[in-house]
Amino acid sequence: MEEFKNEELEEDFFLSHRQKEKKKEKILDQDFEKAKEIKQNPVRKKEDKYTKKKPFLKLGIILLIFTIICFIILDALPWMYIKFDASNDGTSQVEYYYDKNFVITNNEEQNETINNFFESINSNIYMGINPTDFSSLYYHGKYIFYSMIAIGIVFTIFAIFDKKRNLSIETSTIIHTLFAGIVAGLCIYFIFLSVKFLASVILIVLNYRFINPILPNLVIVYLAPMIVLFIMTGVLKVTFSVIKSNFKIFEKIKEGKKPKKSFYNYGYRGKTR
Amino acid sequence: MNPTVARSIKKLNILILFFSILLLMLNIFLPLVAIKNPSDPTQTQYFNLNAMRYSDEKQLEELKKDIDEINLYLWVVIIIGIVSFIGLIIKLSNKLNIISNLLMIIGATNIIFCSLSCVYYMFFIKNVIDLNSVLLASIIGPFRVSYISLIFFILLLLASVAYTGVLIPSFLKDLKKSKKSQETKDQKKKDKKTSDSIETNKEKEAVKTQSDGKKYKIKAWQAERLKDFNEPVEKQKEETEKLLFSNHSKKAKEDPLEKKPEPIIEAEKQTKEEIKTPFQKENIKKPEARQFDSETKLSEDTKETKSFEKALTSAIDKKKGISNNTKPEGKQILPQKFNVKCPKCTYIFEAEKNPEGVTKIKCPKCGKEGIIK
Repeated sequence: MEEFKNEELEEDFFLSHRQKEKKKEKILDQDFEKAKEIKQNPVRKKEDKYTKKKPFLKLGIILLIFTIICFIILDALPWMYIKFDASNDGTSQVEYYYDKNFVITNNEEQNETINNFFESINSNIYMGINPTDFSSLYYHGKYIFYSMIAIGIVFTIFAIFDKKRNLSIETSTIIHTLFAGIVAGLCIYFIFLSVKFLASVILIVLNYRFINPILPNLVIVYLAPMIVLFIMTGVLKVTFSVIKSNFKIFEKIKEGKKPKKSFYNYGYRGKTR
Repeated sequence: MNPTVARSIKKLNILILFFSILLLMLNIFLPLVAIKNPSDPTQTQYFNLNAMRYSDEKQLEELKKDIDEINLYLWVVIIIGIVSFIGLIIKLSNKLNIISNLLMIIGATNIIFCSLSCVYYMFFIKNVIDLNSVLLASIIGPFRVSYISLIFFILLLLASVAYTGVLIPSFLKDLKKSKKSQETKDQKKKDKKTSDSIETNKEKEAVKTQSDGKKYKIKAWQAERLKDFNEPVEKQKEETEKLLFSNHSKKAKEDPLEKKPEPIIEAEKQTKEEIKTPFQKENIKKPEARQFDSETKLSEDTKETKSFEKALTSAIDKKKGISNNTKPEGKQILPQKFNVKCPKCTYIFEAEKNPEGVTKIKCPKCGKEGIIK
């Protein structure tokens, strides 16, 4: 009897085990079917446009690129190009290229430092620019670019850190705007310094009557400062657009969904339409 | 901060920044003054800020100092404008509220520097007009160049006035709102405390009365339940033995998986149903079934009552906790926003509907009155 009972118990045990296995198989089959359905018809999760959009974090790279370009331009390109008639007949013309230190690059004989553009006239009054303006622009511009490069590096590091640590949108945008604000200030300062060159061009045109008798057919082009000025205005524009976009991110987060439209529930003076 | 207010502040801030940068550039860029040649009065020599710096005339030097001062104010306006813009963005993020408010207030001080620069520029123009030898520069026709920048200075001043006009009321509103919300929170906390104390007292009293009055009933129910709890186990044993011995030959042929539900489960269900009944009638929360295990089959009455009291108190505590959690803490029913189209002028405007009752609205364009239900 005891043996019989043991056999029965074993049988029961196996039966229960089989039951469990069958249940497991059922669950697995159901899951498999579900997975198949999902694979065939993938349901795309609608991402919240307002909450999951992070700010444009490539400002650092843009800054680095533009500042390096500006440095190369300021060092490599001539700062000023002058062309005027040497004689009153207009037969012989003189051309000079000046670099950042106000040294003539295309004439090795004239390597002296100059305090005035033209010794014959007080050109500083007529042109509104002095050789010291060149050196001051280079001196200040150098430090502005160094600081911008530093900001660019710090910002790229921050962007990488943000990607790895996945910081909140609020903190990343606040830091982003802070950097953008500092860059905007530096850009404005550089533009403020280099606008002098553009202003001198206009002043030369206006005071042409005074300059022409001494230096006939004078043509002056400030190559490097003008190019860098335009690049920096572009950078300024980018920084302001970045600040604006950051504002929009928060605006959209605050607004959330748009208000409901209810044209049909509207009534006036107690009567519904 | 209201998003519409924030938008208007942002626009005004951009305007201030734009005008201040433009004016700074114009002050350097434009030829501001001119001097007529004494030998030939038809010829006029133009001076911009840099040219004025290099000239030997004292009058021009003084004028240059005025412009430098104006430029300094403009620089301050630009820096404050950028700072206030950053403050606005921080304010919208609802983080670092104190810093954002401080930066915004600093932004409001722009009006002082804008007005100062505007006034100084006016003085500069007046000084030039007063001087006989120096003139205001005019490039095209009789129109003076410095008047262009004067127009922009006035626009800058207006923008700064509008900025402060929008910013300060919104700040005051926010302050009022924050004060009100704090007051309401405090009141709610006080109310909660009082209501909780009253409820706890009431519940304690109710529990006492119920426990004292219906002790006998509960004891009887416990005895019955314990009996029922033991019966199904014995029944199940018997049934299984019967099944094993009688249907041993049939088991091999039949599919064992298509078995009927086990008798143990049925018995348990029966017991559970029986457990529910006495408490549902009396509106007392059901104690957990596991608290009355076979080990705690209480022969003595005292032990039973103590354990049951414990179960009751725990159940009440749980109930209280659930009720406290379910209550909305400090949530206010906010008014819904709707875009409403006026039937008269077809102007679409935003209206706020009160969650309770009917709200009256008025078209901001034509003044037609209506109701949102």
